[in-house]
Amino acid sequence: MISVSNITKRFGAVTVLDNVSFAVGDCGSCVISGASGSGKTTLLRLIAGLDLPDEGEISLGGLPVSTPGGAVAPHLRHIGFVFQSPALWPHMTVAEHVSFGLTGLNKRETGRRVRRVLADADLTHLAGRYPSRLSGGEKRRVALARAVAARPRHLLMDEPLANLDPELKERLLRFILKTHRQTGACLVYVTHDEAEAQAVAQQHLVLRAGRVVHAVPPVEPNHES
Amino acid sequence: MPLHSQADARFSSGRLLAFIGLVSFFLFVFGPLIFLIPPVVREIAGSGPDTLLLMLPTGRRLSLLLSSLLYAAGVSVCGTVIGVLCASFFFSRDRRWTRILPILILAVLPIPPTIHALAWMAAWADVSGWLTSHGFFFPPLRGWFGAVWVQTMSLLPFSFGICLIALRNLDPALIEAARMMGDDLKTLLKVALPLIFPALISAAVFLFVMTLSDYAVPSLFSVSVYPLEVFSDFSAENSPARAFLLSVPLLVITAAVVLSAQSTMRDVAAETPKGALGRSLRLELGPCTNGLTVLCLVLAVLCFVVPTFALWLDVGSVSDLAAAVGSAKSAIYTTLFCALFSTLIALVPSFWWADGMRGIGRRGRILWVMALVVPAIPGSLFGIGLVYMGNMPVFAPLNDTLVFPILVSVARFSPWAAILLFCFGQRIDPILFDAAAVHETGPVVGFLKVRLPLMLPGILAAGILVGVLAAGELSGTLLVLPPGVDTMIPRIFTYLHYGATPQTAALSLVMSWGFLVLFSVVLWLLSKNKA
Repeated sequence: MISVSNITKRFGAVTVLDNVSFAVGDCGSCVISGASGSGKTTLLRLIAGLDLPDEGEISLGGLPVSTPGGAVAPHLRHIGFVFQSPALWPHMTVAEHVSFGLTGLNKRETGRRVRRVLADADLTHLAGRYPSRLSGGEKRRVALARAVAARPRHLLMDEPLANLDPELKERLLRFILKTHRQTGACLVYVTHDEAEAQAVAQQHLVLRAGRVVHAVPPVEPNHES
Repeated sequence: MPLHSQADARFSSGRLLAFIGLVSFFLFVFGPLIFLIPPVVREIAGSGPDTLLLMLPTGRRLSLLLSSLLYAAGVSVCGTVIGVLCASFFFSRDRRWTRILPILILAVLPIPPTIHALAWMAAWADVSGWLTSHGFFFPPLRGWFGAVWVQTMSLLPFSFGICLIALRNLDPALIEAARMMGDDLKTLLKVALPLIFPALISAAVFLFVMTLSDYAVPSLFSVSVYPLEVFSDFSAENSPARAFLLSVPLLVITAAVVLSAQSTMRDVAAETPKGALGRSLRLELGPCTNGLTVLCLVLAVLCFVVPTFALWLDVGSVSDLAAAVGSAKSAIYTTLFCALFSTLIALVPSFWWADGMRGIGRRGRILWVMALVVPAIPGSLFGIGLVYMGNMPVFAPLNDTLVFPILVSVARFSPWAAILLFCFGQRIDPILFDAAAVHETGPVVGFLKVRLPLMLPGILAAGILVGVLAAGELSGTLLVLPPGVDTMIPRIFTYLHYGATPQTAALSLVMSWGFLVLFSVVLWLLSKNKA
């Protein structure tokens, strides 16, 4: 469960998020939309622990992880994050990206998990490739695979399908929904795309100038669309 | 995952390392200057407030300060104008050789001014002799003209590099939009050059402070400048307090200049070069501008050719070169030893300082300004601080070792490494570090697997930079070298006062080529970063 309570974030004199609150239940999903500069990415970064809130509290699984006074390190939050750009490390192969966040597994289990994730993301044949030799769509798949490989309890996705052609977008969206169902992770998904939002959302928040201006309560997602 | 135990857990182990790194950097760099504070306080307390008058230059010292300011301003204006015109030449042409030649010009960047001076003296004498024998007049290279010429040539790669990177980083759309509405000369003068104005300011400020804090070149041309006065006063009086107080006017001027331009310089340093040195456009600048840019190109090529090839004329033969190197073996080993250890000591603290400089907000700016101010401090002041330190009984045993020459280089050149690492780090998309912070299994793993490999070319480049600068250090090293021990540049500097000989030419040539090869590696490493 992700719980965001009365979060405010300022950068200098600019208030980027102003008293934002919402909660996403276990296995639930929440789509966040809004115009550019409305604070969507900042909200995800606060949940991930990459930035700290000025006011309010963020809890994951019922435990507070971010307050103005302290924060749990990002890697201890059991989060998978798909950034706006693929953010792939140029010196690592696809397989190394997928295995990067795996912990507590022996070598054989790690190998098995990596192969499984690569197969799910249709990346097996690219396992040894470096990012410079991947297409845009392949890079997105690697970023998704990296985010889900460690079976995180929370998945944060910041416009993961932006600027992709419709066919690839549909394939990757199916992959995301399947992964979400399989892992049972709590998903927070930022998008501008109405169709994506409808396919993913159990609940929907609209941000404007750092405030929640519209909130649709949790409903069952339309996985068929 | 309770919060109380995790308060500030984010990068907690990293924070400790960063704190140690920042403190070490501060102590290494500012330590020699801090050692000057007690004698200054004692001097003021003992001799009364009259001592403070040393900070106010009057009479001869005032005229020296004004001459130094004019000299620095002259070098700054000449160097920046030639640099930007030469950069315009490369910006307006896109051929294979215009991609290679800038790298050669930049490769002479770490060759010390002392070697430039020797090379230019030798080349000028040869050309002058030949022309005079054929009845032509050729002005002699001496006095202020000689000092300005040599200092400009030795610093030209800096201004050229800054301007070229800025020009080649311009958004092509802006240039193309201008070309739709005016000729190429207008595009260059009205759009491209105004857009790179911050880079021009940075280059000018950089040349100004580097010149104002240096005395090596003026002293070789027998002209007096203020930093030489500080050095001479310390040699005569052996009073660190007097030397520090005499330096205050210089420190105030350079600090004011650097502080007024620090924000602009930070933006320029944070620019992302596209490719090795960006890309050029084909522009038709017209015959007059073309002529000017070609003339400046010739000067820039000379600043590469003279210190790397012209010295050969004075060396004579390969056997003479080998003999000169053989006779200076111990100086070469000592130089390499000092350069190596300076690099090893400087690198880790510089890494963390650069990391701190990248931080947003006031802290990042303060660290940036502190790193930027150090190159503007006269090198002899670091040496004087260490001499005072060596006079303390507890540090006295270090006087017979190479610790102080190494510490002088660490103090002077760690900020260079930090600035280079800052620039390099700015070229890496921060989201790569964010992705590591979220997905890593621990901060150490994240550091070793992501941060270190991404920064490795920058770290190696910074290491080599510190090494070559340390090998060329003069003003501080002269004061703290143990008796009977020599490094290359002080030896060359001392020889030069008795006139250029084949032996000094040979040693300088070896140094030049060593610097050239090593700095080419730096440029290659920096161009490797595609993150």
